[in-house]
Amino acid sequence: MIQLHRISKYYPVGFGKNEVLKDVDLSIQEGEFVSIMGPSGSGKSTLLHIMGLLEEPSAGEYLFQYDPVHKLSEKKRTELHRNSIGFVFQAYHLIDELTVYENIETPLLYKNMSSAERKSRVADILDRFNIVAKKDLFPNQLSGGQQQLVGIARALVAEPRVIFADEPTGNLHSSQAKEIMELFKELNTKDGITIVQVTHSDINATFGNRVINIADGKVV
Amino acid sequence: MLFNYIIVAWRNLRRNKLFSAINIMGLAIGLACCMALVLYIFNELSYDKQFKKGDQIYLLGTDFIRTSGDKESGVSSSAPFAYAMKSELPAIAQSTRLFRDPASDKILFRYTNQNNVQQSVFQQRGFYVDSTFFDVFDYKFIAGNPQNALQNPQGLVLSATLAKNLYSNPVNALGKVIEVESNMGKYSLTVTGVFDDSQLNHIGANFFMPMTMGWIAEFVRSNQVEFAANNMFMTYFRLHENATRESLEKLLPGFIEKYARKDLTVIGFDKRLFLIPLKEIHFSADIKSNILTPTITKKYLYILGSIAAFLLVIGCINFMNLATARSAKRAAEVGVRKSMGATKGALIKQFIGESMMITFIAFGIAVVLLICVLPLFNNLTGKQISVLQVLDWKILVSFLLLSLLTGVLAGSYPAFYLSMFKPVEVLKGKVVNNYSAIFLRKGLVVFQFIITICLILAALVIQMQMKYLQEAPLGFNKDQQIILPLQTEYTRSHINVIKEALRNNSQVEQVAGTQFYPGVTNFGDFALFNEGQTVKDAKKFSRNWVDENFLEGLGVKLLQGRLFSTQYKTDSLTSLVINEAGVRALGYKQGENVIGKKVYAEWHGEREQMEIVGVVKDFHFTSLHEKIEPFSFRFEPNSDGYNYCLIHVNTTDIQGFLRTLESTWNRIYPMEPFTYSMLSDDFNRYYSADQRTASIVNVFGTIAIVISCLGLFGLVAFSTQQRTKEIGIRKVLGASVTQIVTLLSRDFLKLVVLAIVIACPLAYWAMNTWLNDFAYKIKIEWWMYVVTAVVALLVAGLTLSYQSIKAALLNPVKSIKAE
Ligand SMILES: Nc1ncnc2c1ncn2[C@@H]1O[C@H](COP(=O)(O)OP(=O)(O)OP(=O)(O)O)[C@@H](O)[C@H]1O
Ligand SMILES: [Mg+2]
Repeated sequence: MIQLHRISKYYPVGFGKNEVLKDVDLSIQEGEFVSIMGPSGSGKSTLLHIMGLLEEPSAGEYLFQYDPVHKLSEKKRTELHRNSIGFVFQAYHLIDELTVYENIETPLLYKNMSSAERKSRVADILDRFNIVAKKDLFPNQLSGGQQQLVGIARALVAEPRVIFADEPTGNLHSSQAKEIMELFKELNTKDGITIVQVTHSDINATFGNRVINIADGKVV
Repeated sequence: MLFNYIIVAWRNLRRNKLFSAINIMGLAIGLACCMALVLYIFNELSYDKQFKKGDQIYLLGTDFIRTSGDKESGVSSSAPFAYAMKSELPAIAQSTRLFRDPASDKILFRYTNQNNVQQSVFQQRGFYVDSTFFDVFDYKFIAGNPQNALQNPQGLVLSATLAKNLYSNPVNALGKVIEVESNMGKYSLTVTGVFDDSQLNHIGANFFMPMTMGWIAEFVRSNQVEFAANNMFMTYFRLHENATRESLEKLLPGFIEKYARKDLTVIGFDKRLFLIPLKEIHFSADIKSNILTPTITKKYLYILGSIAAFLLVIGCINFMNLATARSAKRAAEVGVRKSMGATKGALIKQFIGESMMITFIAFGIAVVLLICVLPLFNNLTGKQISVLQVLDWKILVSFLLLSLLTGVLAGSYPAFYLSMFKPVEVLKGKVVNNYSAIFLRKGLVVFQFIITICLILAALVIQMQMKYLQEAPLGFNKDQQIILPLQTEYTRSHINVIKEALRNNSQVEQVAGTQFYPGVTNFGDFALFNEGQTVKDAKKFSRNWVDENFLEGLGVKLLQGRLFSTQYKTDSLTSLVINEAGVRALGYKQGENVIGKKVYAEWHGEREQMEIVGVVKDFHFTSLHEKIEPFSFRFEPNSDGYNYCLIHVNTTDIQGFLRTLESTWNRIYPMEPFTYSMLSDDFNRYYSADQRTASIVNVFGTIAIVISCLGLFGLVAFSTQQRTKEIGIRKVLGASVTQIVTLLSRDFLKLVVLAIVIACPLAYWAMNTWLNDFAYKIKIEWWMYVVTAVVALLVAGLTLSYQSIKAALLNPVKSIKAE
């Protein structure tokens, strides 16, 4: 599903450049649950953003679902964001002005879905995550774990093929983290959703079926 | 989706009450001002729109050119032009004349009202017109027939407003007989028409009378071939549909040669004719006619329009500044939405929509605000704009469009700015306040304050000039002068009775009769030349016919010779008193003794010899807009030659004296209502337009300051909010309150200082242009800049200090924890 060939990324710094990723080769199959690990500043987030089409590599080739990404039009990328890719962020990034229900509904609005279908999808997911009672609360009325749950629900509601999660449990304590990881595991095994997460925790990594270690911009 | 946007927008508004309030109030005030000024401008532009063939109507204008090359433009012509031009020039379909005697502005109406009660009241703005008048100006009649309303020499046509005042129902006026008395004499006229006066026009008439009454009838009849002198008629033409102004104007010099050359040679000046289209009359500010309604320059409308635009822009700037300043807060939302597949377009739509929503709310508030302040605004501008006019659908729709446009304008920059955020950067937590945004924000604050500072300096300069106008020595006593207009034959012929009656009153310094006084236009003039010169060398002098008491009563200062006296038989024949400007005009040196010098006027080859008996110090017979010109007084011995009685009193209890005066008047003139005016009020009327400009600039300047400060307040509130942690840390490290206040205010004050530097030359230029309309004026001095700068800094400083001090006094532990 994801194939990286000699992917590099550098940022201009002063007169030189700061090479964050160097010739990364990587492939992830449909249905995998991959954990990316490595020291701080090693380029994990950068790699995840490139895979999630939020950032472009400086060099190399990237195939997403066998399509060469650099040839995709802006429209097609937007399409992929709407239908195939879901994101979960360390800082949750819920929209503060929207309720739980409305936050989860938002991705569907960009898909031009009928209101009846939206309702049933959101209802299903609220049900599944056991947060029906919270649906009218605003993000700041929830605990961190609950917010991340909503974040995942929001990533899932559009039924993506793959979820990219950047330290999804970074702001949570271990028992909450465990819950989230179990949820990921379930989504991966039951629904067959590909999951790529960045984590610093060895325990979290055990939930997945593969670990990719990065150091200094290289896969080791 | 739309619903989602609206919810986000609405909840955003509610969550940030301070910012929302600043945004909405700023925009609402800006919009309300804008709408008020738009109404004002529409009102000015609506003059003379009611006449169906208005595009074919022209007013005859004349440049009077002296041999010296001096040129003076006017819109009054000699009597015979109207008909001679119509018969000579085929392009002219109809011509008509209009006359109003400004010296006899009050005309007495004696009539029986709807309750059968005898009434007598003075009416103003009555015009004598030719019977063809309504053939040129097709006023809408609500009663009577315009075709023959003035064919009847005893006809009288009233405005609907006047007819309503007299008979409560305007239609009832038709056929009523009114006895009309003025210096034309006493006539019984029958109301033959009532016209709709709901729309503005440059004539501003309350009633029309046929030009077949009193001396004017005689004058018109006997003056059918004099094409040079007696320029006192407004002459209008209606051209044929296919005729053009250009082709007609080409023929005018030929007309002058053929008809007027002979008279012009005799009188010693030349005439050049031109045509003023009806729709331009109201905007021909160089037309100085106190027969028509006051004109304005289009420049003035442009200035008001720009003030309106500026106020709105200042409101929009607040919006943009606060929106971009707060963008960090919205950045996460942008990032998330983009990662979900929101396109840039969708985000732009969302944010513009949001700002439209805000302007929409602001629009609602603005309409309510406008309706509330409309009476004040009318008071300020001297207009009569009604609530109904505001609620007119055309106006409302255009205002709505205006506010939508405002929404787009205010929202576009933040929308593009926000939608440009790259999700990765946002999600990585990079601060999104980039330099270009900060630079722009600072630029906008500077721009706001430039406008504000210009308005402060303008207000100050105007204020000083107005003070100067009020306090400048005029060369005569403006105060404690009461004017009684002598409008009817009876009062005129009995002026000596009232003079006698008041002479013994100890409160009265002087009672006098005069043709004109400072405060009304001095119409009389003639051209004087010295012994040994000819009429070609003549200089124009204003001329006022007065009695032996007037100059003393007015309090002009005698420099040489004597004032008029009944002891000298020659005074009524040849004596002349002139001012210093007159002495100079005649070619004498300042202070040179001219008593006994002979001067001459020539009228159709007949020379009149006069002798200078006195010189008075220069004084301002008219406003300080005008230079002091040569002026002369002549002695009028006949008591019925005066239009006004001037009473100079020595009491400060004017009200008490007026009560005595009224009873005296009623005893002497029982059939005439008592009316009076204060000379100072009449004189100050010259400045009413300036006064209005002053108030408008004051009011809108203040509003500009308020909106700008609102915005500044919001920005500071925001930046202190952002820096709470920094402030906390600094305090823990030992910074004092003053140091923190300085830290927070310094950046903004620098911007205000920059604005001052840029604004001063701009304001200097603008105000100098304004001052150039005055012949006598103040200089813009350095201390005015200092005052302006201090005011701007003070206002900005106060705005800043509230937030900064609040932040500085905050408990440091709290502010560190807050992060
Ligand atoms: N826009 C940028 N400009 C320049 N350098 C950048 C930029 N974004 C990231 N970097 C650099 O790239 C490197 C990798 O960053 P990245 O965020 O991928 O690290 P990470 O592995 O996710 O670290 P962490 O575990 O701390 O999140 C860092 O050294 C960072 O300084
Ligand atoms: Mg990272």
